[in-house]
Amino acid sequence: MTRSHFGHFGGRYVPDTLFSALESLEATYRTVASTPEFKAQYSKLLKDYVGRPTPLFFAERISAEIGAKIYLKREDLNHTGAHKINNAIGQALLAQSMGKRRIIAETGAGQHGVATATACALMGMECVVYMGEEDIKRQSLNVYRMKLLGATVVPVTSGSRTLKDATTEAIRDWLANGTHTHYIIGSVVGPHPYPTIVRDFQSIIGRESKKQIQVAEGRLPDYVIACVGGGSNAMGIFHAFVKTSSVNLVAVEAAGHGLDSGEHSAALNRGTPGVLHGSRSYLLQDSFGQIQLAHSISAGLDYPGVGPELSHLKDSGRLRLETATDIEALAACRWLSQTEGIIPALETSHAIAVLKTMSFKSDDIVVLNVSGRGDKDIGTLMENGL
Amino acid sequence: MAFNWFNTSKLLIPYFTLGDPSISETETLVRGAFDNGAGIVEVGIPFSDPIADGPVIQASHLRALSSGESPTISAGFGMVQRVKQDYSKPIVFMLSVNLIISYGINEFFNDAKASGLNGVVIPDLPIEEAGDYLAASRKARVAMVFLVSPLCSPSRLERIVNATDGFLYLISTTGTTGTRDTMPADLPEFVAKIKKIRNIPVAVGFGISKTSHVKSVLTYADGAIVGSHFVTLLVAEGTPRVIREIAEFASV
Ligand SMILES: Cc1ncc(COP(=O)(O)O)c(C=O)c1O
Repeated sequence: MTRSHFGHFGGRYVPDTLFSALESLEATYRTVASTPEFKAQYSKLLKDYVGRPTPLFFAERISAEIGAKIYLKREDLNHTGAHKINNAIGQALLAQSMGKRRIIAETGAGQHGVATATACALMGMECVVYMGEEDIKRQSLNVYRMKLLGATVVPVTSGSRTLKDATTEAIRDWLANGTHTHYIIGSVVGPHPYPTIVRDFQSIIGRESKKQIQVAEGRLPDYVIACVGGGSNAMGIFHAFVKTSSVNLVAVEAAGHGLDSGEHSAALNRGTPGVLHGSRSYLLQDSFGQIQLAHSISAGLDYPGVGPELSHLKDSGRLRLETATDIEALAACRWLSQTEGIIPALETSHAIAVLKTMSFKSDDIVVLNVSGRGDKDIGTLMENGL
Repeated sequence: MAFNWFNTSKLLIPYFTLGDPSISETETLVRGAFDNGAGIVEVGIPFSDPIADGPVIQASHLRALSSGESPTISAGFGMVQRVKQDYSKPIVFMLSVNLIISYGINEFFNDAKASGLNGVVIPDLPIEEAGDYLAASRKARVAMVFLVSPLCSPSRLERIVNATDGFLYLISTTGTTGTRDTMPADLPEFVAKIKKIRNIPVAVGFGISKTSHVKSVLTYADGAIVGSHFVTLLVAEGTPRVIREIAEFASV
């Protein structure tokens, strides 16, 4: 059995129409995903197609500048350029075993949309991606990639026209078509069992990192740092370390124009518990329970909620919460590009930024998840004078 | 708990979104609906991100939220209180669970009772998460009306049918709210299945837009819920036209 709740968070807050689809997904996941055949098929694709394991790179020049040992987990080197493919391939395989030939997905930065479109092309499945109009503008390169891969990109014009609204639309599609459609949700959000499934498929990041850091340093890290949108790259790298209390888990949220500006995406830092998109978690909402618009320069962090497991880890005191503003993220993007020759995604740049604002001891070992590469953000970077 | 809203009659149940186009107009619609044969009125409290609703009702929520008024739960209670001074027919709220969480579960049901509200439909609250809500609603004697779809598994169906108060809200088609051309064929059988578990009134919603739909639904169910169709008509032709349509639907 998989857990349906993480402390007070999670659950399955959806209309009855979705229950049977969620129950069948859970049953398939429980019975199929643990079989040696499924595991072998998944591992083989991760190795031969995605290019895993990804390297753990000792970043010498930024380490010298910061005064700690900084290791970068290179998820940007995955096929399609971000961690999202780990989950997309896994769920596409699940859809195959459920006999569902139509796949839908939501996307913000477009990385999850591209990853899903890629998995569908590979497995010969129909793919429909919901994307907010605002994000279609700022991530046009990824829109083009999805179309080239054969996916249909549906612009979402309601609400803030970003990830939140794309997710709402995808859930609607699933409500109408759940009997023959699988919804590949892109982060550790949504109704049970999605937060568990996505976390499990992403947990390869932490398992590899743990082995790699043992080889490089002979011990576990003092800090593991990741940016948090919905929380999939963070839970992916944190999961292997959650039970080891000496490892500080640092979750970095987008502070947008500043935490006190009211224009940010910091649900763990500033949110309150509530229900959005089928599960209970920390949310940005007003005093009546209306969901507030998030803001971040990075489309992938521009979401007013966060996964239930991270919400629970926050309440258990297991997380160290940090934030970076739009401006700090832009500066960090330039910094990593020019000191290590790695252009990170703007989402990842938020995690990079806190290296400069946190204080470390010289023998501290830090593992930072480079969740994706920055090619998709070139337009935004140019607009912001980088 | 016995609510006896139906007795032996078949009821038309119109839906309106509070505050679309204004709170006072919603009140006019509710009164007009009761005057013209509606048996129960369902009032939606608008939410920024309603996952269970189709495009028509979602757009209605967003209009209400950007109207400049505050179509909140409290405003809804205020309207109910005014209407209930003149009418005894039941009013139920339909709203997303997050609005109730934000208001406070016990506070919500206590204030609901004080306002005279008769029941509440929370489409994204499944029976598995409903314990606190059921306890509070029963204490306040406000009906918790549950939703089911024909996709519901037998064991869940039994649990839901036994828990629901007032009536059971049967979603006639998979998917969200919205109007459709034809009604699904498997509904009469499903209603029979429900009645075998417990003899509770069943109202069918999601997709009714014609007198012929109402007529066909009421041959096997106790109530016909009409939402998107009236909301569309309201935007296109205004309140008097909606009231006339209600009178027509109610006279089948
Ligand atoms: C490169 C990259 N990093 C991070 C994220 C944020 O998502 P999550 O918090 O689920 O990892 C995204 C989302 O689009 C992304 O593309």
